Amino acid sequence: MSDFVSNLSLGFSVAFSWQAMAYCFLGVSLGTFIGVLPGIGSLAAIAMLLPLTFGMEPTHALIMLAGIYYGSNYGGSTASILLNLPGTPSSAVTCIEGYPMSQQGRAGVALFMTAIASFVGSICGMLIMAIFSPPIAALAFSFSAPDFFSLMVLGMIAASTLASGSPIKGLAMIGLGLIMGMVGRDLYSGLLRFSYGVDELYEGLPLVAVALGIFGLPEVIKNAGQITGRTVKAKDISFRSMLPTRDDWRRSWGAMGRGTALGSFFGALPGTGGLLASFMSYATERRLSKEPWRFGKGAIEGIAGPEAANNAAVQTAFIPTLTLGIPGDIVMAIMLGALTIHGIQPGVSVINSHPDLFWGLLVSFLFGNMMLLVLNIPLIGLWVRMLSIPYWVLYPFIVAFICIGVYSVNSSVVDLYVLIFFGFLGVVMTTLKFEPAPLVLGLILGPMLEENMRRALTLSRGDYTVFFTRPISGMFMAMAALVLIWTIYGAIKARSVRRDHLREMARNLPDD
Amino acid sequence: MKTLFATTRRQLLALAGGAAMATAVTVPAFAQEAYPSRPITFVCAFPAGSGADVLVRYFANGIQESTGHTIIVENKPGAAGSISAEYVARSDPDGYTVYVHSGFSTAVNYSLWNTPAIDPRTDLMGVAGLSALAFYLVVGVDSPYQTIEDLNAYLLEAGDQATFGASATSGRLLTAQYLSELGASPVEVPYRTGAELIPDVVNGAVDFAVTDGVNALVQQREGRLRLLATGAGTRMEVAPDVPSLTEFGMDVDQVGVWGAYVAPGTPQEIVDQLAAMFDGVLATEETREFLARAGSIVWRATPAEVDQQMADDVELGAYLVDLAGIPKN
Amino acid sequence: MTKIKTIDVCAGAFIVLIGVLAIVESLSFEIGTTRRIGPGYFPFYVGLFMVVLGVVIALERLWTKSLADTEFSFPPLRAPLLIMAAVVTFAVMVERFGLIPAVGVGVFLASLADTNTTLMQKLTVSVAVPLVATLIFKIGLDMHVDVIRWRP
Repeated sequence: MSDFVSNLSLGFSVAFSWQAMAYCFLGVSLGTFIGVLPGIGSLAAIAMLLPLTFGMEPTHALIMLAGIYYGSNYGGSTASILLNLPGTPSSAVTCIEGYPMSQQGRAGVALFMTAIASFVGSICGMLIMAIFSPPIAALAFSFSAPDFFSLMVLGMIAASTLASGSPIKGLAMIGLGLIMGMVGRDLYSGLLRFSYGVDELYEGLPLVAVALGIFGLPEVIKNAGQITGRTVKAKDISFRSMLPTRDDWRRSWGAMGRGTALGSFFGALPGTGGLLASFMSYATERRLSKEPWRFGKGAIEGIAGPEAANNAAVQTAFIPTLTLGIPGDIVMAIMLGALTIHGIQPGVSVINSHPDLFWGLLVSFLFGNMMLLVLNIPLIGLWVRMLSIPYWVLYPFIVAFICIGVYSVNSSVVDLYVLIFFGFLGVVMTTLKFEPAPLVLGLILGPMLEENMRRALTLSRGDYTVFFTRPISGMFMAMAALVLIWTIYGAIKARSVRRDHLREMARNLPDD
Repeated sequence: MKTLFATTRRQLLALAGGAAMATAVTVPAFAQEAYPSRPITFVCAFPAGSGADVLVRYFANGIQESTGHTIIVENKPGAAGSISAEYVARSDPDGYTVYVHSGFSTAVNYSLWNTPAIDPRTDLMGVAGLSALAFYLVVGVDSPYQTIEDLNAYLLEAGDQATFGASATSGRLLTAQYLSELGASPVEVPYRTGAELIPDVVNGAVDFAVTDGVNALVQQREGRLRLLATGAGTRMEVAPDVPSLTEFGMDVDQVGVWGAYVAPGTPQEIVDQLAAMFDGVLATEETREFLARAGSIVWRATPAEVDQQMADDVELGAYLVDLAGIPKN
Repeated sequence: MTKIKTIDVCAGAFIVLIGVLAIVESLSFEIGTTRRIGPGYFPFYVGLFMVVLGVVIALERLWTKSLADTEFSFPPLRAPLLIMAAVVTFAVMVERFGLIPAVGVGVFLASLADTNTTLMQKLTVSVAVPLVATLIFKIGLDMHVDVIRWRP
């Protein structure tokens, strides 16, 4: 315990220096401003700003990069809520409830709650990272292929009910995502699948292009020429209108707590990151809710939970990255790159040989998140005012920024054609009433699902029971089965209620 | 060896370091002007922030500092380097577009496609050698196999009940040759990155693994892995205690060399000038240390030697790809 | 059979079609053995799963009464075609003519999707957007793309 205190005080002494504070502030504000641009998410933001940090001292470079990361995460949520434009796949969850809230004129509340939930998630994630870093690092080594496979299965089953319509359609979208995830090189054989002669697809579909294609373009297409005036009148934006009501708070606290717990756990597992955490959190809230019909139409707990989860996961994702040299997600891989640029070898030794870096970074998370809160709450009004721009002015900007955002990722024109393809697919899906969010999950988890299943079966010498006999894997499978039973039970119950209701109506109506 | 660590998925954005098509191609080359009269672009086949990108940027910064010329790093990831290799091969032969990449990987790529985009022997011109990175046969520290001989004995006895992990094509190629020399046939378990493989070899899910020098040396230092042998023909300077497979009578010599390459037809004096810039950086003690941290050693070579190495590697690559039974796309 | 709605049949057919595509693609790869699953295994079974799901979606209304009654209508084609044309234009032009012409022409096409604005308004955004984009991405973020170039 005394170790912990002395470590923290070391961290404070590093993070409290004016340079560290300045870099943290610079990172957070740049991240927010770039993330808020429609079509630019945390991935694009961190890659654009990475070179800025090359010349800095390692601790400051990492503090700034981390600031850019969570700043742009927050900014990305803003674009998702206001315009249905997820700049990163994990913001896709925020779109589900955030955008409807925005259309109901409650964008300010959604943004306010996002800021609070992100803050709560980050701080809790940070504390968990500080206290449980060694055991969490050990967690990564106890996870093997069957466990990852079962975890993915659980995640997908839970997420299939994300669709506000039928869960069958949700499953179909996950299936579509799985197929899209197979595009490119098969790890096992080295063969290209579903690439139809396009070598650029070797490393799979570009995620940013897919996310913007199925969420962003259909939204613009739907609204262009239809929304003639302003979506929000400037005079309607008062500080009061941004404050969540007592009811909003009541709904959100529990969601934030559960989201934080889920996020802290999933973030620490290498390879899953915040995405699975946000989807699981959303699915959990929807299931626990006594009024599930509010979901998909602007339920605030559907933002608070996933945002807390995502941000907690961001913090704990640093654990496998820094202590094991195993990056938790793509952004963490860039962080790892930044470490080596500065000649620091990742590993448990980072904590021992560079305690100033480790603890300084940790404490800077605290400051960074406070800055984010202070920076953003006053800015909410400004962001919401973005909606008071007439749509005929706004949407050409959105189209242009989507194009530039997608192109900037790989400097690849092929990515733009992927964007167009998924734009068309998005329009088809909207017309046929399919929800796009489960597709994104399937797309990202698909390769991991397939690889871990094949790996598990190779290692178990073809024995399928390994998924049920290994304790961790068995536990996830049992949970998946429970979720499935719960869903079926819920559907039957809803049906009988509905039937009574229909019978009642039938008395008054002559025919169906 | 394509990646020094971490993920290489193309979604890792490349914009950062900069797709400097701008400066590279808009201004027509003025033959009369002294070279270089405008910024030189180093093309990196991996995303900004990846391990390979770090290496490219190290040389870019080193040359920029020692010569004062502006160097821009342009990340063009995709198709395991084929996209950037083709981009450089088809660029104007004026010495302003330089491919800084793994020559071995470029050579092997030629054998991985039915219709390769380029023939690296004729479509790229060697400028300078940079570094060499070896792959290692590793086991977890708790593994019962203390030496490569222990492992050999087990593999011969266990047949297809044994398993091994491999990441990256280079890792697959090394195991293919090792196993064919040994005459054993354990089952391969592929991994996307070297980092992803570590937990499974540490907790014993796979019997052994083959991974790149960066990953192997870091995890050895952390006390998680035991390095049994290197696939290089001789012991590596960065790991002098690790024997080479050749010491056990195996004819294995696989070293991933990195080099700098330009489009064919680039004037010889420009190639020489570029080579001198690289050599200036390579000669420093700082570079030796930097490369050692990345598990690599300095490889100083003339343009002709780089071309020769490429020709040898294309031949070796074709043989190994066939041996490993990797299907072509 | 009035319970079967056009939208369900279309949605089901869409999923079946994708499943069939996956199965067709999987046939050119090995299915493999249980211990060494081949590259064709996953696409084949996911494809099969999709076909089943597609059929279920088409017929779901027969036994699930809780589904909302949704009317199916073809969306108007003007906006999708013009917006997609804008993206195609950007893709084709950006590496040949640079950022400003690509964004300018693209935005002009996109602006045609809104029939309520005047030509003057359309031209104004077509000039303003590329300038703002250049300011933010080229000057502000030092994105490595040409503002204007000529390399058809």
